[in-house]
Amino acid sequence: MKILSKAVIGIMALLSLVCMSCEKLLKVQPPANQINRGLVFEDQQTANAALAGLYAGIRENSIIAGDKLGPILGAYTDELDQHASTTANAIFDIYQNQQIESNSVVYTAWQSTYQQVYAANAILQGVESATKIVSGEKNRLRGETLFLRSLLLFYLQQHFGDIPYPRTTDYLDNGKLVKTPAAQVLRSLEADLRESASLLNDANSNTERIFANKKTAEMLLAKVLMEQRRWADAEVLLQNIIQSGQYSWEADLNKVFVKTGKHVIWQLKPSLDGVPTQEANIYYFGNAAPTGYAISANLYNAFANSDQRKQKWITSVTVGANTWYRAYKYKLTLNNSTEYSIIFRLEEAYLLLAEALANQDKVAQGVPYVNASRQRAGLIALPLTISRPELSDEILEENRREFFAEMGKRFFDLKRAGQLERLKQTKPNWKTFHQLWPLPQKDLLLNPALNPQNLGY
Amino acid sequence: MYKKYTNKRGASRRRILKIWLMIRLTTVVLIATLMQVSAASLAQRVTINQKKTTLAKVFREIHRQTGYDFLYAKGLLDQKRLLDVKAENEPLEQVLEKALSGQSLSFTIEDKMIVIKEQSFIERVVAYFDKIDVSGKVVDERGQPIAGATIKVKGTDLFTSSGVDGTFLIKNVNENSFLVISYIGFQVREVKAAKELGNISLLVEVGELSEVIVNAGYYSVKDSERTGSISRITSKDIQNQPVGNVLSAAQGRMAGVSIVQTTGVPGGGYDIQIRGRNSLRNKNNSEIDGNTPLYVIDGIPFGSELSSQYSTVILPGRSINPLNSIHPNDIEKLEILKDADATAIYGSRGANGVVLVTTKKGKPGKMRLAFNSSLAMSSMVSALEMMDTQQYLAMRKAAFANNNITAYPATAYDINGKWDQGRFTDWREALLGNNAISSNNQLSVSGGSETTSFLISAGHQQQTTVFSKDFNYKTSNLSSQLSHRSVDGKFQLNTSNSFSIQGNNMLRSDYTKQAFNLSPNAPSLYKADGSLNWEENTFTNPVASFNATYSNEQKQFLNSLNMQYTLFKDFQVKLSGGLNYQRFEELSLQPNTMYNPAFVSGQSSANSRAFKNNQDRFSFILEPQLNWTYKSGDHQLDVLGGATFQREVSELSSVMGYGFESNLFLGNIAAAKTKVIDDQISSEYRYGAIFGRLNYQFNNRYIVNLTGRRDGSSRFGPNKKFANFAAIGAGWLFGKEDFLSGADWLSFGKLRGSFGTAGSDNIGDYQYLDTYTVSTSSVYNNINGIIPSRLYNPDYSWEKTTKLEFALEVGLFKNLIDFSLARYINGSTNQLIGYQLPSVAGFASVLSNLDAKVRNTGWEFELSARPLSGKFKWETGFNLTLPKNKLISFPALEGSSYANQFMVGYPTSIIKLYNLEGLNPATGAYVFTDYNGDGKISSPQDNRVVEDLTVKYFGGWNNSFSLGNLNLSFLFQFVSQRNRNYNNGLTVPGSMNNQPREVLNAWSAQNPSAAYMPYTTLSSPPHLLFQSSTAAVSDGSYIRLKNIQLAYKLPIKTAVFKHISLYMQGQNVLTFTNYFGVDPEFTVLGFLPPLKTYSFGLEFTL
Repeated sequence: MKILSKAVIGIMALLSLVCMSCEKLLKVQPPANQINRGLVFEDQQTANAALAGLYAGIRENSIIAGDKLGPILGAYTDELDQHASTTANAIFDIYQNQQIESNSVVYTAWQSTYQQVYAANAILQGVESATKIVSGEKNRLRGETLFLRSLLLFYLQQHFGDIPYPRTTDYLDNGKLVKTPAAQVLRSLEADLRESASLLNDANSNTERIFANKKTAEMLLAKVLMEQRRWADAEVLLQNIIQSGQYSWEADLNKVFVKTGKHVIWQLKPSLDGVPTQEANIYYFGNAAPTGYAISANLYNAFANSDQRKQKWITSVTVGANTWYRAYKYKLTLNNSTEYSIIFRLEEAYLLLAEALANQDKVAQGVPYVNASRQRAGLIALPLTISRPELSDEILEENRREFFAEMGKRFFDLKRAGQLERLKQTKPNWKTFHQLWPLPQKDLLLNPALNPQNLGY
Repeated sequence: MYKKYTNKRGASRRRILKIWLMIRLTTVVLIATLMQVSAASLAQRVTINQKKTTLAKVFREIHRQTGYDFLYAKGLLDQKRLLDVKAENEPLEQVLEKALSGQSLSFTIEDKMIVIKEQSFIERVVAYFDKIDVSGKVVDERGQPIAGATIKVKGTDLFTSSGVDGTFLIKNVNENSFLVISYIGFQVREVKAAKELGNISLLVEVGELSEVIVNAGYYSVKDSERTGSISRITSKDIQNQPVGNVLSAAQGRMAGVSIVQTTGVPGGGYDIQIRGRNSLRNKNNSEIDGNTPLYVIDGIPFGSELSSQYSTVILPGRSINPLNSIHPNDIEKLEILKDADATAIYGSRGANGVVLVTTKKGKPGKMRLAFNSSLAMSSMVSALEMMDTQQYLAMRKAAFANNNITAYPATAYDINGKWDQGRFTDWREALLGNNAISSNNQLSVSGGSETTSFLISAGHQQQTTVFSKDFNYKTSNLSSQLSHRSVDGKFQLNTSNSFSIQGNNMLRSDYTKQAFNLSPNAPSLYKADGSLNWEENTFTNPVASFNATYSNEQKQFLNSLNMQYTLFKDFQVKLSGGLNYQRFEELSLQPNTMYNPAFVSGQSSANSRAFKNNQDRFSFILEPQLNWTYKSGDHQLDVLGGATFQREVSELSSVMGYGFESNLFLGNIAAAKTKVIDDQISSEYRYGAIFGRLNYQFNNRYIVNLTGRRDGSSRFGPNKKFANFAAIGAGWLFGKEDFLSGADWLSFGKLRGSFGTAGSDNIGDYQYLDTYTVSTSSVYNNINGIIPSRLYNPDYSWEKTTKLEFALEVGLFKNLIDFSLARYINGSTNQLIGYQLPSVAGFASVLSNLDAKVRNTGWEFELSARPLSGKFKWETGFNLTLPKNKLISFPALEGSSYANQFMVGYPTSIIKLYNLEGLNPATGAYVFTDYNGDGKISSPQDNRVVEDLTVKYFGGWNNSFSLGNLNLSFLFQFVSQRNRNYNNGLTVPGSMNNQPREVLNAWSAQNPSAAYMPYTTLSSPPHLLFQSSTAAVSDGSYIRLKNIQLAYKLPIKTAVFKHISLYMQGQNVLTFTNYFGVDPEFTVLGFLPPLKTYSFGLEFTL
């Protein structure tokens, strides 16, 4: 047995010798398509690329993407009909106001938006510890990112009410995060947006108005304030935007959705040259019955015949005896070189200001801001003597006509005005609790701290 | 020398002349010896059976039996020389002759004294001239020739193989030597050399257990002496089956191995589980399934599945099985390593079992050309019956009536008069009713000399689909194999090369689901002019999807090289190496014509899209090994040590094109208006290990086997790269014990057991890095955006599985009946999974080790018997596996992200369901049990019924009957399980979807005790609950006639053909089941289930 043990020891010694260099043998090349996180914020260029990734993520893959917010909330309220050929699908349930907590559209909206919030937090953390980026650039990066995170959380809050407000990338903490009450969310958004506005300049960093600037942050801040019913504070901001001279009224209805317009406050640029906006594709159908979204009869009838928007922003499709209407604001489904997805435009600031003024009983001051878009569309001006409730009503209606199929504005306007109950007239399944969407079931199961579920679900 | 003359039966005449002089010189002595030998042989007979023994031992035994003494000079006998001596009541001198054969020793017997001397010069000269050419024919008991039998001249290096007709010829054989004739499955026979030996018949080996050599990966072991658990099937079971992947042929044949084919579309994947699911990581919660086995082909580990990018909607799970590239007829045997003893030597990759594929090798002998051709026809079968038009329309009308809708909506074309309500189309027949035709041709040439043999095989397979004949899957293989050994036997070399091309040209999306859901009165697919019918844009035409194609081409070169050199006695150095190059190209073409031209995407080729993905993977492996065998008396020791180094580089690049001038340019992305170059990903994987094995046997009865491995993998973070794995196995061949020597009925008996660990590193590369990824979909303002790659966790480490096994193997009545029983207990800890996180965390999961433990236990039972072995032969085999899977612990499961997916004390494949109590007879509403009594049915409060979807037991029963040239064999496969049924994916009854006839039993005032709620056209929350209720899971057990084969060997022998046989095969022929759904084996609705196939083939040999 001596020979045996000697032999075994010999073999093992030999093999261990071979393996002494194992550590070295296992060293691999880093992956070519990935960059170490630490290096990203060591360089201005890559930090910008991270921010570009966030803008693109919001455009492609968040609740406010052009093919999400507008059509989904349009169908949820009274703007759009959904003509899915099979009724058993998630968007049809939303259209029927029958969404349940496992609805996949609801889940995707929630999940994709929080993914972008994570990306924003990653940039905020990276910029914070960056050593080689100059402070001016650092401010811009932080300002834009804070704005984008606020935008995402604002729309989440509007859909879901109380929501978690993650501020870091720590998944252990975020995975157990409890909900922040809606009022507190709005207060935090206000703080974040004030900081963002203070870090950003009025000048656009790009002539195409595709990056957030100071006014963009203030526009969102105004919306946040209006949700808090702080009309006077909102008025100041909106006046400031309108009178800044940076933006001018677009008189031609045909040019409202053209990217070069001076009325554009902020728009998202499609991924590549020639690629159409998501809004142009999502509402399209031609020569056939719709299988997706079409303008509801209710909305179509809300336009007076003299309203130019009825001709210019809506088009009809007739098949046999049936005629359907589709939203035609964005027109290019091919070879798009002139349209970007507009998020904020001056018209919204006008109507928000009118609303802020009306709510402070400044009716005569408010009326001209409603008339601007009315008159452009060929409607007669409202008299300055109109009553306050009448004005509020006119603002709601004008918002509906001006912003149909855009950013889900109808839902948020009705909600802010406390008028969601109106939907009961046209939507048979509408219940009061539909003012909020259900928190996704999957996340409630993964993080029980998110309980309780929103009322009614 | 004198003795030799006396025994000479017939020297050649020309040699007699040559040695005449010598004979004269010794005449006197000759006569004397002759007398003595005869006397001795009359008096003494000896029975002896010693293996690997020494001369000294043989002499002692002869002394014991005869009382004769031996006399020889000290140092004359070579103590180290080992020989086998076997004699059954044979004359003493013949036994001595056998024992001394091949040694330069002679003997004389005087009185009771045997004198051993060195051969004199003359004797040697005589021996030199005394050479003859030996010829003969090896046959079996029935006189049928045995081709490829080895004929070896005992004590020399001379050997040959019998040809196809069983004949052989060995030149220059020492006239007094013995020939050892052996062939796998037959008893070894020794005959004395003679010029014309005539027919030498071999007896069938009694019992398969005795001398079958099992490939255990780094070493081979006799089946009777193995301590590990290894299942195997051989070419006998695989040959000629109408399948594209050997795993289909293995279904139901191996205990402990569950194989499920995931699609009936050719070129897809398999779900293979060896002794259950160890890892919690599956395709639902992770990119890479943590339960796939390691595939090793001719010693070369085959990389994991290539990740297909565009096959999501045609191949379930985008899975393409690695073994698709090997023609089943090229496979000699398939071995599956299951327990710790067998898998620990594969260390970090052995946790889920190891699948060893050995390809066919050439055999020495005459050159042989074989051709095999078959034609098969496959069709889709499902017992599910759907509603006809009348029933369907009645359902729809009732649904609208239930919803108080009297004016049918504009889009309800089936019922609002738009579509002809008198039409009826069986859409399964129309869309899936095509017979898929496959052809298979294979040619092989083999042959070789005593030292070198070769095999070259070329094959081509082609298969169309049940969707349409325009789509097909083709594979072509060319493989060659070469073996060489030096004349002295010290150097051995084996190399095999195989090149294969797989081309899969499919439609882009499997429309099986539509074939079940489409309204039976939906319009025709084509207009009279042959163009697609959109029925004025009211019809989403399913065959429009024919316009969109998914195709892939995989070229693969696989090489393996094994060299071995015997450095000195019983000590070998070995070098194994190999390389694997795969090139995979995928093309997904989505022309606008796949859509209705009325819609934006269908308008013009400006909306056409093309996607192309290329992957290259090159890997090489080097494994130097040392092997040492030590024998002393009853002790035998085998030592193996080795090291592994593997490097794999994968490159992936994809391009996309949007908008084409014409669809004719679709294949050329350069012609696209918008071109996007996606990630150019390259990744590297390195792997290094040392491993060893120590096997000790005592008295051929007691065996201990130790294996171990230290592994390093680049897939882990800096501090977690290395891990150790080891196992101990032991066996006791109790059948050889003296106390059982009287038990004639027991021909073999072994108890074995093993304990050890194995692991898994199948998690993908670079997962521990904290990085940003460049993303082509994240372009903003012409800046290529970068996005966080993943949540960062650098500290995860190896997943480990501990395996324990005990087994009993018994052969009865001369191995007429063999059975084995195994019990295994496996525990997996340190679960490495994508820990699911709520969306707020930013990513759906993070890779980390979970301190959860999964236990897989089970019983495996195998029985084989040969009830009839005469003219009419019957062989039968049965296997049964009873697996159990249980989640043993999961700290803080409640409150974790897995609370709704797993339960401690239950299997990992449970689902939680709502309890459907029935229907409210008054309203037809589903009544679910409201466990928490809050008046609301919700998760996780009310889905409390736990259904276990683990297979309860499974197995197979195969039989083979032969009578003369006719052979009939069949295999039944059976599985007992609960499975999700059709209700799980049921569309709302009453919506514009066809339904199974069972749904006719819906509630109405006249039918208050129905199974389904009243029809409705609206989406229905209760229906969603119903889909996740106890009604959606039911018995999914089945018995399937998996394979049946009838083969006939033509009784002709011409100058040209040596052998011709015809065969007919059926695959998935019959299924017995109560399952409510498309196919019980198959659980994913929406994809094509495995097909039923009949084939006819011909095989001949030249």
